[in-house]
Amino acid sequence: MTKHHCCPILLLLIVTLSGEAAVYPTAGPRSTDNDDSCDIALLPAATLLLPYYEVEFGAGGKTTLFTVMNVSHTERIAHVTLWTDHRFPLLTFDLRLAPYDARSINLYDVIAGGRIESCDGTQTLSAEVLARLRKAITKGIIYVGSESCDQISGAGPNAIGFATIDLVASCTTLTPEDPAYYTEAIRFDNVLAGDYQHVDPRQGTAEGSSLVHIRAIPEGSDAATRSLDPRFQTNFPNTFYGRYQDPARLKLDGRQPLPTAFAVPWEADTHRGIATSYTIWHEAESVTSRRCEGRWVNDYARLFLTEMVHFDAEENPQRETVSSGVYYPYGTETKAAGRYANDLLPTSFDPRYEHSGWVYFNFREIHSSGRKAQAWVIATRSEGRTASARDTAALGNGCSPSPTPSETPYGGGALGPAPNVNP
Amino acid sequence: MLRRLLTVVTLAVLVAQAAGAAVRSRGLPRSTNNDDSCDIALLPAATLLLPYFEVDLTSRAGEHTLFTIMNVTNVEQIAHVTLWTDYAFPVLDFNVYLTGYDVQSIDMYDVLQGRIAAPEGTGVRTSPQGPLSEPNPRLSIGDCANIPATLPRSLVTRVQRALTEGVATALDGSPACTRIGSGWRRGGNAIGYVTIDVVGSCTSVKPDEAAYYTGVLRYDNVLAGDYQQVNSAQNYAQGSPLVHIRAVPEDGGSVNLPRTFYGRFVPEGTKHDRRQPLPSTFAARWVDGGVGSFETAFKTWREGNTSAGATCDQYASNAALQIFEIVTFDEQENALAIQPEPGPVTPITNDFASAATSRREYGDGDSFPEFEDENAGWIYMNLSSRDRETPRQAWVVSSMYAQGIYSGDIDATALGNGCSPNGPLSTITRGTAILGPAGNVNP
Repeated sequence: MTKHHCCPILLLLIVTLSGEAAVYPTAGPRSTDNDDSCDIALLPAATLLLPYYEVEFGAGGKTTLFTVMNVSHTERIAHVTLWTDHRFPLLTFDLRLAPYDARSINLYDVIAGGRIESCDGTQTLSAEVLARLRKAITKGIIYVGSESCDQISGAGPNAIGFATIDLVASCTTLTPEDPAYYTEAIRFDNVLAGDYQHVDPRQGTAEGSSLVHIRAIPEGSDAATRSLDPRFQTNFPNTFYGRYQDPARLKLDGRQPLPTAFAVPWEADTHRGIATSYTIWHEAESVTSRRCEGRWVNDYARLFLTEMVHFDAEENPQRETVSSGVYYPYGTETKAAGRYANDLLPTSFDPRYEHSGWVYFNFREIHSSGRKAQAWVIATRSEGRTASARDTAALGNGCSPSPTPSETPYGGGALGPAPNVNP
Repeated sequence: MLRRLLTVVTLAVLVAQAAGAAVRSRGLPRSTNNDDSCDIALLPAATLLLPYFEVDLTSRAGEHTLFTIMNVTNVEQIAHVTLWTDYAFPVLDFNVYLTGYDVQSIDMYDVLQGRIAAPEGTGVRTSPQGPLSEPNPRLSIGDCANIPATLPRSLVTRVQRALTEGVATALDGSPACTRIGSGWRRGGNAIGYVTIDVVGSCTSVKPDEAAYYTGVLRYDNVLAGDYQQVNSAQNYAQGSPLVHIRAVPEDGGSVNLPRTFYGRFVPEGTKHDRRQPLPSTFAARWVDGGVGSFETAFKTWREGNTSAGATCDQYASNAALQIFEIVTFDEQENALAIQPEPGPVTPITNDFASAATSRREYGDGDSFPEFEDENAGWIYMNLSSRDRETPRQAWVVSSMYAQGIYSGDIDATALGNGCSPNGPLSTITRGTAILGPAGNVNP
């Protein structure tokens, strides 16, 4: 009799113990909570990424505007870092945001006019500083202490780069490159939202989208507490700012990583004046590993891709890879943030006859660290005097492993969405 | 022996439970998997939503909307496209056969003139197959062999009248209906929204029919897409991604979502569609006037009231869906809101109601609390309704334009995902909640 009672009890035990495993994949989602996934969504965040800006120095030229909103009831400080297209942190400033504040910044005012926000109000950079800033942008040269650092930017006539906007605890001159940024400055409350617009008055076009909303997960508390309390452990395989942190204390930022593979629509029709350009932010790798005052400088960082496949409207693929798995598109000197027009289309596609399709981008892992490369891709469709930009679909979240090259001749699997369960 | 065993079992269960708790104590996120959250993200999906379209039927150079669907897998898929009026009446549906890695652009102007594909048609027999495109054994493609390229004239007339006059004529067993769209009072352009679902066969069953969820709908997150709204005559073009709504879980099993996107069309509690629900609260930016003479309109999609088998007269209930709360902030953080009378909270006036889809101007004097002399700020929108317990799903797009030159669509930031519960009114509207992001953990 006793034995007969054992079996249901043991069965109950097995069912109970297997219950946790059975939750997934036979049920989902595992969590319906806010701020509890690796998915980049349009929800309040702790870091906002402006993937690309471009500013002309002359009045009436191209500029980029962005807006930051504090959607919470308490005061916040947003730390803005303007990076060059070679990933050099050129300038930082702070936005003191009152509860429910919205602050719009025209980067022409900042870069050309030298008017920056600070915790003490609007300030104007001295003529000397402004001249150094301009030299850094147009010549790619900046002096850090007594050392001259060159090739810190693409050295074109316009200021081109990207911006990060982080929630911080206090006004600071630290940049995300400084290890102390993650132990002293950064905070973890998902309360910021924002958008941007690129304006080209000469062309009469404007295009905009949301800033990339990168959440801190888990949310809340401060760096010191988080490093000691296991409840604040970040379960991401890597984080947005992981490259800047001590390998022994990675993931202090707690920020979601960005994805690495994208499906990007394209349209091109020379008869109708339709064209597509791609705006790409990616975690470029330094090729020459130069250092400048302790900083790694990404000069000549190219568009490192494991694979790029163009599909036309009849699903014909055109692969653009080389045997080493590294692709340099037509010798284009591609930066951490860049914009590319139809020159990324394969030469075999003639826009007189091939009018639409989509592109698969798979960015290559950061070679020096083995970490997967993070990226963000925006497609802009222009037709005559109209243009519109939109974010493109990632094929997996930032926690998915880097996809291997697909199918023949590389022997990989079928190109497509990342599997549900990350290995 | 039994007692000892029970003790062991009890301990084991406690350990197992503690282990579960320990998982939570070891940080977040609980899952880094794909397709394992309630967050609406720009990832391949099983349903795409075009939240608002507008088409001037008299001229291609006027207002019109285009959208693109991509199949990002190597195997063929079928996308079921449904056009709904702005009162959420399903007025037209058709199938798009997608070979592996296919992309299809659909111009709503053409569709509303009766052309849903190139003259040679689409379908298994006529669609080009790329060298990497493969068959999908999970589909029943027998009825997809030759999808017609054009619609019958009688159907085109019915669709046009439904979208511009709010009248659906009787046709092929479908009853005649009036007031199934706002056209009966406004006239003008065709206005509505579109859903695009992954399905298993080429079917004429629509999302408002129960059979859609038992034999038609599929759960593969394989579609991506975007839209453009163009007005060539005015030099305006706006675009954004379609709303990507994933099936979770993708591969089957029980659904832990508290509600689903198509929940009102499936038997209560079944969640047969498995689609993520959309959020209800948003922070949307506005600009009005100033140096650039900018203006802002909000394109807003909202979940209707009608369920499967709705009768003609029930669609009018989607004409003016009550709004729970709206608060407008200017750049000095001044807040404007409807203040209920002291005492028991009274519903806000129907002036702040909207249809299942709409495009409303900030500054039109009717749709939002407005500042007289301020040029920019943001609006908090809680698009639930007080007459229902569960949140009403929604999507908001800020559409900004200026000087006959500049325009752009920007999705508004949601303040919680679609699994967040209804909250009370905010303190700004004499409620109890502090306005802001939803709590991390949903009760």
